[in-house]
Amino acid sequence: MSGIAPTATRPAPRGGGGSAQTLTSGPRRGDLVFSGVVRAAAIFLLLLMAAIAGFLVFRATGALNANHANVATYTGQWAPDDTPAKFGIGSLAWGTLVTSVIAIVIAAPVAIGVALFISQYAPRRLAQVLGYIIDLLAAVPSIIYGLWGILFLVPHMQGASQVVGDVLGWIPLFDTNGPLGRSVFTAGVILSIMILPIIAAISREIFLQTPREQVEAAYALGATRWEMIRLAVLPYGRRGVGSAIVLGFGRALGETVAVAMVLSTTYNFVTKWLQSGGNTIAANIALQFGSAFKIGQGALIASGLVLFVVTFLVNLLARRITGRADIPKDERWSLLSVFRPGRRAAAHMESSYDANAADVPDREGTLEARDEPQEVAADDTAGRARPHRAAHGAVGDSMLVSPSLPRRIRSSLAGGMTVGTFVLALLPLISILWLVVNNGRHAMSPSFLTHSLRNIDDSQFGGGVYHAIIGTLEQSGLATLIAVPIGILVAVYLVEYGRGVLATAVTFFVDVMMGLPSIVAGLFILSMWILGLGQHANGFAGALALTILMLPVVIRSSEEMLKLVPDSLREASYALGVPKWKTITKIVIPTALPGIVTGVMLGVARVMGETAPILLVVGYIQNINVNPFSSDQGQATLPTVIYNTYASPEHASNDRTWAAAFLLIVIIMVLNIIARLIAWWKKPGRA
Amino acid sequence: MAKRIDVAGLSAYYGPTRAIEDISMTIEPRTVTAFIGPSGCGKSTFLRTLNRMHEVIPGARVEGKVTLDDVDLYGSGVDPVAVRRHVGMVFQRPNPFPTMSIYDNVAAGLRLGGLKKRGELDDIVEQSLKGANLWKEVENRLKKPGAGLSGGQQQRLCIARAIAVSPDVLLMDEPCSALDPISTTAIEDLISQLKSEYTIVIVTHNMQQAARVSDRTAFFNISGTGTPGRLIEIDETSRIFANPTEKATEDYITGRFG
Repeated sequence: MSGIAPTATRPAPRGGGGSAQTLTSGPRRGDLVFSGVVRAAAIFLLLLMAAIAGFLVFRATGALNANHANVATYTGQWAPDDTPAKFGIGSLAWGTLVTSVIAIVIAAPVAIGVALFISQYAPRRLAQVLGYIIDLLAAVPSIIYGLWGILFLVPHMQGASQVVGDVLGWIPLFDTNGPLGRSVFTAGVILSIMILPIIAAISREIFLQTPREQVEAAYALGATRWEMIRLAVLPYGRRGVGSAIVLGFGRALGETVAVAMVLSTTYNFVTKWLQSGGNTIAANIALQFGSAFKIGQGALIASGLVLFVVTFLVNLLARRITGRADIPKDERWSLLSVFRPGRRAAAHMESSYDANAADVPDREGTLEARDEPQEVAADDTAGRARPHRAAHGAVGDSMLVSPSLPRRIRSSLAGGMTVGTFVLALLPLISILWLVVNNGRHAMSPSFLTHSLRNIDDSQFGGGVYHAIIGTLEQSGLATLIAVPIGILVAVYLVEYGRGVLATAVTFFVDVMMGLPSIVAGLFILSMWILGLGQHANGFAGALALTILMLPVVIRSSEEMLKLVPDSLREASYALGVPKWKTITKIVIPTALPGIVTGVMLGVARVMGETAPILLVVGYIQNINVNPFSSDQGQATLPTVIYNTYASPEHASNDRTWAAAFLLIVIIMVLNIIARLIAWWKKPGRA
Repeated sequence: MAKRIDVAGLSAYYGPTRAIEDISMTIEPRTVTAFIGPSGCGKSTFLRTLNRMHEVIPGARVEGKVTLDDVDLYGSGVDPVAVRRHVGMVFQRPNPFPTMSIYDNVAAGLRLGGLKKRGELDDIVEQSLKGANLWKEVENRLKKPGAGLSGGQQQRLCIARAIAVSPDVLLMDEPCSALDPISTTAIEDLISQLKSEYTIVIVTHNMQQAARVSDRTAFFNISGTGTPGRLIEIDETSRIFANPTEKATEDYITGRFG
């Protein structure tokens, strides 16, 4: 780093002159200040989590005390603001559980297949690109899944539900005598698509880390590729995949708008999964919040607290599973997977210092080894007899005989199935993109980008989303301004200073925040900022909710990138007499910067598509409001425009909804692609 | 069951880089052949071409001919999976499957081959563990994880796993480099015993070891960084150590290398 001039960083000796004393100077002020600042950021994060829990509990107790129904078993309408107040959370929790279980049952096998395909079967050059394509599924905002779900999937699910009912109809759960489509089954299918990328991304990374010795040991025994996977890859990845599935489950529990748009609301304990009806905690908050008064808000917060506790426990479980596995515990967020290639490359660079090319072949390469057995006219009988003969030491098998036909068929079949799961996972992405582009192009025009919806009726053509573009940019911009400095400071604390109880606690709560359902973040800002501190429901409140969602992303990605900076760089700096804080600010952070920028951009892309928290803390309006600090005037964003217009029966309004979805997807995809390009461009070891 | 290996004009590549060049040799059945030479000279690469493990690495390829008795291992229609059944391998670092018990580790290759009969498996596992001089130490804990053994025991477990499928040839890639002297002795004794049934090829950096265990020794060398490794000479071990033909061999063995 040329920026370090020795003269500028020479420690100021304490006390009088004398060469001995310059060597014994105590802690420098710069170091004290800097470590104080990063420590304060870490403590702030803990206080924030404590405040979230505290305010939710405080607001919830009032409503629970006023409730005249049994909160666990009541199945009547949601009526907390009636006298007497009546509401039940048990049936909502049941619905949440059922949709998430359906989602995981569908998503887990497909995701594992996708991960195996990408890590073990796909040509190496393609593997990374294929991984990014699956990651794009995670980048699609949940509002767009909801739009796709209600307008495309629900009509198509009626036939599919009937098929399932025909096969499984003898089980009461799959009874089809009633309206189909807007059911927990459909909601589960949508959720499964939404959580598939996170499970696939984590599993893929773990499969790629299978030790080369294990892979080679299996191949050296004469294993086919599928047998190698079963001997080496799957046993190694077991825990990690288990943890990924639990994390996916936690994500499904907290999904809000997509479920709210698809399910037709009922408050019973749903036992007919194919028939329309049901509800989840998160969806109920989004649906009921608009008409809630004081006790109503408290009741929703109480249900949000239940959701918070359940997702907290689920994430704890995932953490415990991961903690015992031989995998880095930060392999837990799909968007972060963008950093893996970089880290592998760095590890590879280091290993090549001590390795010589011929004796120790490329570690990285072997993981994606290609060993497709050549097509052979297999002699079935001889092949099957071999193990016995070999076991007894008989000689004379021809080398031309490949493994027995059943083994070969099994191996090809397994490979074919992983390809199948990948194609299956691509279908919803293609369908969504096609529908959004095809339906969104009608209303898309320059004036759509420069006009608001002010005084535009649903039936009128024209108008646009200028007001929502402003809201989206301002709110996510403000969130970035707040979350990035705090997040980087916390990450610096964790990597450079963190040890002991505080560091453990911070790491743990970053994990908790990572799994925090976005609607709970909205509830928190509502209960603390708006109801507790009497602040306005404006764009800034929305930005604060987004900040809570962005913070863990920024912390995690920055932490990852800071850890990638080799210690030899730090030591080289210390050896020049550079104090620690300058080493961090002038050497460590600049080295890690491209990766941090990538993480931030992925975080921005994520919060831009958020709907649920914004619904709670920012009023929706149709006209332009450029001031995010205005008192209670509200501000539109692209997701809330979609949410507030999708149900319109008018053709003109539908065109605008799709066009807004089109615009939102384009913005988010562009951000994602730029972020990945930066990561790729600056990746250590890029040839 | 032991078979003879003939190598003719073999070169191996990592992508565009040629790692070894034009190697020819014959390895007789029921002998131990040691490969010695400086790091980076291609001993391990050459070893891995003998059971087609080399091509597991993307971009790696082989030119030339390797015949096991009369079958060309790189001939068209030859299945690399089948080749590895006949030519077993023991690696530098012990690599038992961590999720499997000692028993399951040894049985892994047999089960892959479709052998399911419990009695037969039991017999072969016992014979293999005995063959690897490990039976007495583990007979009472066959169901325990293989990763719980010491490094030397793990390596003998890997040898048991390799010989359980009764290969024709056993390749060993520095099998003792991660072990202490006592475990090394145990493995070396084992190699001398296994010689009666198998063709054994061992890569080692330890010249005393080569002298102790091998019948024939091959010396590999490179003329400089970036150049491919070559076979300098192969001969009776006693001759290589006492009276090598090539000056380079003598320099290497007497430590006047480089």
